[in-house]
Amino acid sequence: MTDPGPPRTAAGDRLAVQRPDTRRSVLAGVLVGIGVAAFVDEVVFHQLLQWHHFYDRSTREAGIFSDGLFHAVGWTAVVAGLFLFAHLRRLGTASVRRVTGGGLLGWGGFQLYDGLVQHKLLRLHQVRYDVDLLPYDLAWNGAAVAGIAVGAVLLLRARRADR
Amino acid sequence: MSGHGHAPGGGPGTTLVGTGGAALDPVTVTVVTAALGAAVLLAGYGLALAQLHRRGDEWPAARTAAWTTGCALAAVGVAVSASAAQAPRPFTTHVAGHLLLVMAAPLLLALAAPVTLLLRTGSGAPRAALVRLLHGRWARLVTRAPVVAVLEVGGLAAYYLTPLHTAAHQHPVLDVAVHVHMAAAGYLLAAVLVGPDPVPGRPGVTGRAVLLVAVAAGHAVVATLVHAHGLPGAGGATADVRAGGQLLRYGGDVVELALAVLLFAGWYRAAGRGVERERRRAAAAVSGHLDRPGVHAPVLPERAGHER
Repeated sequence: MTDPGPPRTAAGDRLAVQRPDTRRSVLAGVLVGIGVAAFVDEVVFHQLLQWHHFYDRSTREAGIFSDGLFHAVGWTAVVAGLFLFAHLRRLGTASVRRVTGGGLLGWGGFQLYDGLVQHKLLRLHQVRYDVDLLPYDLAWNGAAVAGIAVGAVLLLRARRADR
Repeated sequence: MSGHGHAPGGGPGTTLVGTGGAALDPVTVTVVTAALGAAVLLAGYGLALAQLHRRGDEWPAARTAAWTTGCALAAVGVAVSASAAQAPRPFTTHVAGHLLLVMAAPLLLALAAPVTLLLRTGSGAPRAALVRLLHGRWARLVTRAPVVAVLEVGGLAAYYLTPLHTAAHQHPVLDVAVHVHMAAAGYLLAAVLVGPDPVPGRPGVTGRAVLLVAVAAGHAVVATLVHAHGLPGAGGATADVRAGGQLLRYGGDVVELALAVLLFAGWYRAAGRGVERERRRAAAAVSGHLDRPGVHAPVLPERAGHER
């Protein structure tokens, strides 16, 4: 008789195995991280500080498409990531280090995409107007790179700790 | 450009004469028609509920509340849109009506499970026709994710970005048809994504998330293009059109967020039910079949506090 393996529910949860669900912990983190990047961009920089402009005259059509997708992905990702995290917590299979690492990776990646592709390549809008842009761009993209680096280190250390 | 955002159901310039000889302005006619339509929808739902009640069947109060609010928002949406021509900012006012009529109201109506209610209360030939329709080729076609996305975003893009916009303002019948299409597409989107009604071949949660992202992105792009370039044939964007485009954009974001929460909350509840089922089955296996080979003795604490 072949071993049917541990039981699985329709949602793909293995119940008999109480090890952290590494893949979905990273996924939950990345989704929330992407969402946080889009959310901070919208709420802090567009609405509260009003540094970013909804659209400026140098915006290219491709920038409008990219921006629409950026925010649609962001809103959906943050909701999906939070419910996935709640589900993993409920099962007791969330690996907090991987959620944090994935989160930093997702946030940094999306922030870097926004900073390099959307702000620079597509000229959607700039970080701020009527100022010397260089320090703002360095801070924006530097923070993104730091997020990616710290996230990657956390994920690598989580993997090593498992061995 | 004047007069964008006049009502479906009566163009400016048409004056209907009432039976009493008093002139009725088109805005009043539109508002009254919308209110009557909403009242008919409400009464139909109420009659079906009364039938359920006589049988002693339960029906969630939240669905009744959703239907009532949805009907009211649709009527208010038509009224706001109809009064846009006289408003200080016609296009922005029109967009407010648009958001209520073709986005918020259809979502609430879909959440009210009207198809389930009809299936449970209908009888005879009409019910058989509804079942045939639900199982038919057309129902399968229009509920496929790419078709839903094209119907939804296509209608919006055609109305706001093509000469259809001007044509709809010259021909009230066309205007009504376009708005009926957009409201129906909004209903279809909500029903497929988060509705409690049965949908033939409904995609899984990932497929529905992709559909939501595609539609939300399309919506944001259309709104930003209106904001950037103005309406077709209007020669650039006025301050009113810019504000209207921005309202369309942010209003769409709010509805998208609501759809995302409903979609993933539904997944979370369903996954929880699956976990419970599996726990019960495993507990039964522990008590009954521990000696059977190949059956794991499951480790099932209430919560395994596994953190690292």
